Amino acid sequence: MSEEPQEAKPPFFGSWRALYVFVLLWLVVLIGLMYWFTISF
Amino acid sequence: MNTIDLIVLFSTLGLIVGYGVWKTRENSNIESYLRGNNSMKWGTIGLSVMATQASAITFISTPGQAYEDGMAFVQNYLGMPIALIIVATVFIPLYYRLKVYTAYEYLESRFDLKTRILGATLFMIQRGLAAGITIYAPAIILSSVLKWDLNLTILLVGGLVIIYTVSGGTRAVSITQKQQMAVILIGMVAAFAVMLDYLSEYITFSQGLSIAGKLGKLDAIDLDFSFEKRYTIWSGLAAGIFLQLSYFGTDQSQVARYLGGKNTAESKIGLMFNAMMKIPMQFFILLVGAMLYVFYIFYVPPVHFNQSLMQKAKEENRLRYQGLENYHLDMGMRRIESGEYMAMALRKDDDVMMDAAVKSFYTWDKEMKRARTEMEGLIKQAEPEAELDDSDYVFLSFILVFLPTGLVGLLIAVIFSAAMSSTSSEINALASTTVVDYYRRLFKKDASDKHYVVMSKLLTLIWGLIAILFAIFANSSENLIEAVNIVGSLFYGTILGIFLVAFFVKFVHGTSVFVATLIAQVIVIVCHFLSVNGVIGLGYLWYNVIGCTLTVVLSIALQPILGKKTA
Repeated sequence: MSEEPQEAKPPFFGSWRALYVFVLLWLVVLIGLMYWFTISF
Repeated sequence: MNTIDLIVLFSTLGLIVGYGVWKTRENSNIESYLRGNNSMKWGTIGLSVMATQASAITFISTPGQAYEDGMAFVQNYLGMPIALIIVATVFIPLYYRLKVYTAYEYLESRFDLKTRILGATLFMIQRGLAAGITIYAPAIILSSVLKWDLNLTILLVGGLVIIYTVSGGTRAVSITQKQQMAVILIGMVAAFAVMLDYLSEYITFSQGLSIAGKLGKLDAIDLDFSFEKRYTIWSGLAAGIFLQLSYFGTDQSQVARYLGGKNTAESKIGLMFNAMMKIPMQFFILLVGAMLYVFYIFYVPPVHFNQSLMQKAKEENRLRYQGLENYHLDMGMRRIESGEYMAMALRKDDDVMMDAAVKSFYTWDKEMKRARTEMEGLIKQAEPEAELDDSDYVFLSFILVFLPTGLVGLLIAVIFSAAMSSTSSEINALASTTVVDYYRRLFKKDASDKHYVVMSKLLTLIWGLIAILFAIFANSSENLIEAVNIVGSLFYGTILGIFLVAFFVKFVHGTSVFVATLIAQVIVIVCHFLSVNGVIGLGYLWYNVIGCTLTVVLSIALQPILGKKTA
């Protein structure tokens, strides 16, 4: 993933890559929770 | 609506519009008017992006979608976080580096003028239609339930939007969207709380979820591989990525929201905020609809939620109408008993009792549906052209009948706010594209900044009036949230294809991608025509994949034939 050379880091996670990985993990968690919701009720 | 509700409604709207006009009263140059002086921080960007996407259709129609078909629609958004990461890493740095006002400016530097104009034109066709739907959709429903004149309602929505969008440009759009999102979120949570409070007379929230689940309303994730089903995890992840990538990466109504950021970091964080919050928000709105279904087990629903059509049926044959209403009510009362048996079965944790209660529920439900079908026949006798799908009226009906005074006004303000927030982004984007990609590029290249600001305001007004005209002449037979996604899916694939070729397939030049896009667009429209007429079964999300893939593949195939880069 490319980044501008002078670009500020994000205020959390320390790098853009880490932030994107967190967002993807959040998606996985959401899908997991919604699937659990589907099969539980 | 009573006087207090009207006061709440017009005060809320007046404050939002007035604040927007006052806060952005100085716009001296095109940079300020179209890009907000690059002053916005990630919170404003995040809420603005969210508000642009969440139109009134989201709040009127989505609960009704869940009421009828369950929560599977949430899968439509599963591709969004992935798409937004791609936008953040590829599109944002490029747009900022090139200092563009619109996404389509980039296409000229990469290809040629005709490709830029084609991209801008496809956007304007799609977004112009959508702007009309965005005003029409809430107006038709509000006018029906509030008994307001339809055209006056359209003029009210469109007129309020035009005031602050013309006045303040992109900053006014973003600033008012913060207030609009606050109103929307407070209103929806309040409506949900009231619904649960009514339900608490019969069941707990957890029992309500169990009943909704037993009746198939909570199937949020579908693992089926079928292409014909509209919403599965695969269509959401694969095809949904294409739709969301095109929407956030190439649709000027969204590009303008994040191009107004202080820097790329603020824009990226604003998008990541959306990537994380959009799916939970949509899940909540769909859950409201699913719980509405449970609510209407214990409070007998009207035979048909569109009360103006019911009135026509009554005038057509009063005796028959009354007979059907009484029968429906009688069956509804028996269905309430089934609901109470389900609740008892849950308390006793008795599966056998639950199965019997569900069986009983469906027996009475079938009788209610029979009464409804006959009522629809009566409606059709009275008005042969009537649209019988009433899912868009379910949530509004609940608001007007069951919410306390004051909260009704707030919820109607929610719907107006949502309509205004999306429409303002749309007409602002349409005006920007017209000024930058057509007027300044083709007709008047070296005018003063003040001239372009005046033209931008004039074109914002013109596009606002065009959207109002579209709305006045519109008609829709689809559930509205699906209609706007279908219109989007018809064009987004090809537009995205142009941009993907631009970014990643460097050996393809202007003429090849131009011709490829035209061919791909025709094929997508043919697919839709065949699907609508039952010749093929194809969920509309796949149009995005077809349009995008064809544009890319045909561009590559045509490049050796159609030759070199044009000047």
